[in-house]
Amino acid sequence: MKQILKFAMLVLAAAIMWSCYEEPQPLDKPFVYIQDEAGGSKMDISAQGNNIVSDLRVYLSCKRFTEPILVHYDVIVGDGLKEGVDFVIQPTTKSPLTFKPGTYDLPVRISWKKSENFDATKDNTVTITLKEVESNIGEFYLGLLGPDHLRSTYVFTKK
Amino acid sequence: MKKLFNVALLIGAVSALMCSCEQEPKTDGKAEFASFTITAEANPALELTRDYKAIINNTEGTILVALPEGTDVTALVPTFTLTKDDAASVDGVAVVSGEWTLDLTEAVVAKVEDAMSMVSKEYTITAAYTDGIAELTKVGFYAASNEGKLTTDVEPISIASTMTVAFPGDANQTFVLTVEATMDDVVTVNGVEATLQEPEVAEGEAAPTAFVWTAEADCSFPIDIVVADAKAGVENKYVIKIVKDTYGESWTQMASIAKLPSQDYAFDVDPVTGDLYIAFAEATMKDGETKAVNRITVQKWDGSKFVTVGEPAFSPAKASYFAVAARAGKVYVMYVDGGVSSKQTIQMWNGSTWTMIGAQGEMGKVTGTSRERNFLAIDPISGKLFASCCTSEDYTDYGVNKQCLHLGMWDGSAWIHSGSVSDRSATMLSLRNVVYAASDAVYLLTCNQKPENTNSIYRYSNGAWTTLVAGYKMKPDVTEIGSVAGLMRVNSKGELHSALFEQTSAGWNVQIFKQVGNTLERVYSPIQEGTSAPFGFEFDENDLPILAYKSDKNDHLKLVTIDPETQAWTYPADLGFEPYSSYPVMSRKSSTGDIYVSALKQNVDPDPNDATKTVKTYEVVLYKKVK
Repeated sequence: MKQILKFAMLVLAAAIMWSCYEEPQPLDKPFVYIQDEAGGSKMDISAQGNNIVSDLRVYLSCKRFTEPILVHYDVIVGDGLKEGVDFVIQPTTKSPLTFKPGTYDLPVRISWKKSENFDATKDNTVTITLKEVESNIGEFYLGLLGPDHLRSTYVFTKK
Repeated sequence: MKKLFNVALLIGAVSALMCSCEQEPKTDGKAEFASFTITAEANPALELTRDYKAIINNTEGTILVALPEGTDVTALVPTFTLTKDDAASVDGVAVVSGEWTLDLTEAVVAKVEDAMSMVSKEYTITAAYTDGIAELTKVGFYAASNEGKLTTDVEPISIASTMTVAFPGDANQTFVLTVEATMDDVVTVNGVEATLQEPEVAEGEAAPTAFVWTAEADCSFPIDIVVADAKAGVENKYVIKIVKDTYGESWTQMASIAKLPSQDYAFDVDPVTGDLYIAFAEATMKDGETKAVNRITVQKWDGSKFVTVGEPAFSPAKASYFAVAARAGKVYVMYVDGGVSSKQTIQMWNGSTWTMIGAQGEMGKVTGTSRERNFLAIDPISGKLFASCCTSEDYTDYGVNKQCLHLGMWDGSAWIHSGSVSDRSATMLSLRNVVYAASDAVYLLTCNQKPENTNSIYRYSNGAWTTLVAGYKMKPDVTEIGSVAGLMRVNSKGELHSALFEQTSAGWNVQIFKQVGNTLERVYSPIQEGTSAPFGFEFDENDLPILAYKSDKNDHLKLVTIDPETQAWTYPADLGFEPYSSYPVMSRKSSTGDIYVSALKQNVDPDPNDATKTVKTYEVVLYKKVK
């Protein structure tokens, strides 16, 4: 009898431990990333080319949202290039990008101009870096999920 | 005591079990319609062709049900969802999705309540008529709206989510874009609402169904257009990409030779005299023959038309798979000779008659040749004639080839082997070959069967062959080199280039290579539109490459060159016809820089012998580049 009772309590203890087990919630973290049409994160641009347009896309991966989401990005220009001279960002695609409800990707376009005084020894890169997301559906992860923040940055190199 | 303890333990465990998992009930704190749709399935009497999603404004508390003109709105059955734990009612009576009959001849107020949080919201539901679509029906840049900037209208070939518009000139400025959209649409261009041109409707006229909008657009970037129909709750996005289209004006058709009986033809431009020669087949019947035989005829351009050189149809027997080479007034033709078991025969025009170079069929012990593998080239230094063709026999005593390639040289009195390429490995097998006479030497390009997917280039000068590229290996993802060897051209700087077909998993590419040292380097991006059919390749007066190819998009003959501004391939010049699928598109360039492209068109004509039938005939078309 004692043994039966003890066994019953053992079972109950186990039941207590398992009864409050909750199904783990699916990974549901929103994120934003940037890439080119081919899914790449970098591109070389000819320094002699003029009026070459590069077309990047910024994508939101998140649940349906009902209020606009703003995505801010930085443009970091190496000392060998100058915005407005060596390249121009399409004004309607400048930071911040406004994602209206129902829109989950927007372009960032750059028109490259011929670099008349190109110096190959300088830093001739232009880096687009996702910086911040303003939304009311939670905090966004910058880049693809993972420790490396892949696709949070795009690098152009003039050569 | 122990029993008491155990019972207490049991009771405690049960109590813990009952209490431990009790969670506070969760509420979303909302009372809203999440969706509201008039579906075709739930409303069979309306004969809708699709579902119509209502527009819900949770802030204003409104639901707009937009339906096609004339829809009976007196007995709508909506399908709807609510936020968590909510219930909907009208005048205190619960309404259920799919079971609620709704009369929207007047506005109806519905209430949504959240039982958990006691939150509620009222919605005013109304109906409106809509065309149900938001789309462009016309788009373009029109000369009438762009005075001083455009002399012709510029429109995309068709309306699609991504469109390309080719501008005849500098597109890096602002133009007025004109679009037509449908009823109740709002058009934005690059994020700014366009201007609606109010339609003028005369009394008694029906209401317009297309509405014109205009906007200024900076064409140095792609243009984003959004067409939204708020009533229909739909939106469509479009992108217009801008390219320059100046290349089409650079080519003019100068001649054609029609109704040819077969697809055999070739042409060449004499680099010294600038004379243009063309060889084609003519059907003739000679003494003793009972039916017409296709024989070779050569004609020369006299400035306004082609004129026959010597006798027409001069080959003694059936001739096919032609090659032509001309230099300093001497003209050579090579053809597969049906009178000698399809071996290669070469003849020369000596100014008064066509004469055999060597014996009939002596050039090669050749069987099973095909047209795109026959080439003639005249050494610019020595004047010696080189001929390359294919053979299925194995020539172990010719060092250049082990299989397929047969290379001969006429020294003025006899055909000889041109001399072995001493450092070509004996294990290499050639698959396709091209000989090409530049201004300084003769070049030989072989696409090798062994080693697989490699190319070799040799140069003949001063009586000897030297190896330029022993075996360039194509990229690992190249599964096959094209059915023709490709072509070689030398630019004004003396830099040898070759254009080759490569097949990858993405399809066929035409890629230009430049010889650098003992290897090849890729230059310019590949053309990804070409089919694996023979193509033309030249350098223009500015040393920019020109490619002529059959497009795999619409099967038309197209021409491209490099835009010196963008360093990218231009918008293709579409010559508007389909070149015969497997016959060469050919190109030549004269010493004065005139560039010609020719191709073969296949036509269907009435059978001259039977009016009830048709026959295929072939037409050689020739284009010249305008400088």
